[in-house]
Amino acid sequence: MNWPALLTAVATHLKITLLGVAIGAVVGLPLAALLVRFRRFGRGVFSVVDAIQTIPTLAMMTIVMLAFGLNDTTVVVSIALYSLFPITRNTYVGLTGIDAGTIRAGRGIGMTPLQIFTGIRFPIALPMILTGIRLALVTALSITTTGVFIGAGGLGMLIWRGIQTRNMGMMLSGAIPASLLAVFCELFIGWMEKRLKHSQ
Amino acid sequence: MKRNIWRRALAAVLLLPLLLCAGCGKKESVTIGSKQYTESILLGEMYAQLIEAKSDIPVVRKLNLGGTTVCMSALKGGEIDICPMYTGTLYNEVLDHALDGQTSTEEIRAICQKEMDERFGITVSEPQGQNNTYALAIKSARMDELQARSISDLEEIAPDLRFGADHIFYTRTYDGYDGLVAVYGLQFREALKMDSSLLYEAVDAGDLDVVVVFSTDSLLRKYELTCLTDDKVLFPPYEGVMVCRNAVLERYPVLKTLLNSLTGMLDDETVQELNYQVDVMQRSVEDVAKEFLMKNGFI
Repeated sequence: MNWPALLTAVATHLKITLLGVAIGAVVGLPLAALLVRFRRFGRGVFSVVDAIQTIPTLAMMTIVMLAFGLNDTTVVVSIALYSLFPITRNTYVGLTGIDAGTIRAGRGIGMTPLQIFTGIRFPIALPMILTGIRLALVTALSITTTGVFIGAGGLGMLIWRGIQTRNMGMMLSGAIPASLLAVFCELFIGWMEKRLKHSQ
Repeated sequence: MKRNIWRRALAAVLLLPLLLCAGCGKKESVTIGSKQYTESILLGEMYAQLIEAKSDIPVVRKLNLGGTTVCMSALKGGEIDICPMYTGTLYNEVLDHALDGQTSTEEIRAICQKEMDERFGITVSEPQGQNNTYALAIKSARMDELQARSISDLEEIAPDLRFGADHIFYTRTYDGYDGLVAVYGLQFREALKMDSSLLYEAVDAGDLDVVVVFSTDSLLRKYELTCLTDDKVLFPPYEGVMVCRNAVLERYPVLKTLLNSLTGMLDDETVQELNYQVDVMQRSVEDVAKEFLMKNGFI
């Protein structure tokens, strides 16, 4: 087995996935926070976010490809767009689904709206937000394998060519690291969740 | 109405980078694409090596792209410059003409060459020689027993034969199972549907007598099957050709001759053999392409 090539593929796979979800989070988290403040835009924004989610992966990449070319960037952008749905939705639901009494209590002890947001809404919503990111991450790992069809790197090439040439070894050398990555990402976010809970 | 606005907003957001990037695509190289299966990747690799050997143009490989749609968008957008294609695919999927069995191989090729040029500014090469279309195949060892060389030869013995094809074959209007019955009048004892990967196993084990395959598939060699001649021309032509953006041909005139250098160099058996080397013998695409080009004196 070609270990350096495999490691490069794993590294590229992880890079594309994390970058895509990170961009999705950088856009999605503030977006959800803004929607909590300006609720009347909620329906409009979410209908766009939902619509993006329904675009088939390859079709999405074909559209994005026209702007960013046949490379990793196209996959990163596609993942960012797909991440909006789980991240924005979960964050919004987490931030708004808080018992009205708790908010009123905060206001009662003289907290400013900003303090209510950072001191009450955000900490309570955190598990929901992390679940959203976790969902986005695991979905993104599998989207990255599709990147092979628009000329991007990652483990997709090994998996696809392995299936094509009935080369079980090659296929597994891509599929096993891909599923391990998914397991590690799950564990990592779980660990982060626990730590955040303790630090509160 | 509200929805409409959001849709427009989405379109604007998606199109914005496109506008920003327009005009930043000038590059000093030629990019070769291919579709996501061995034959296409092999052909793409061959042209890549050919261009590298016969010119100074730097070659970028974007092989293994996800199908005709991706390849055509990439060609139109200038993301790739050269790509292997099939006349039937261009005629049917890209140019949107129906493959109704009324148009000859030569006419289809001529229409592809003319319309691809006019509509997309893309040149279609002369055919390389292979025709990757549907075919009926039987075990080579049984050719004498069945006395069959062409599909017509099956007419009398069909009621004793078991036939198998994948699901898609039964749904095709002109060139599927219905066409086979209409054009050749074949009435098989049994006509089964199964996944194409199982067809080979089934005919090899003797559970099926006649199967529908793609004429350049490497597994025809692995399982020692022979394709019957389509003597009444039921199946549309899928002649292997190279397509190239006209803009690139103007920038690198040497490509005009290179694009046609494989013309007539391939046939179904040669491509089967090349696919076999990659799919079954597990050799690398680069090696197999290089070997072919060296054997034929190209490099």
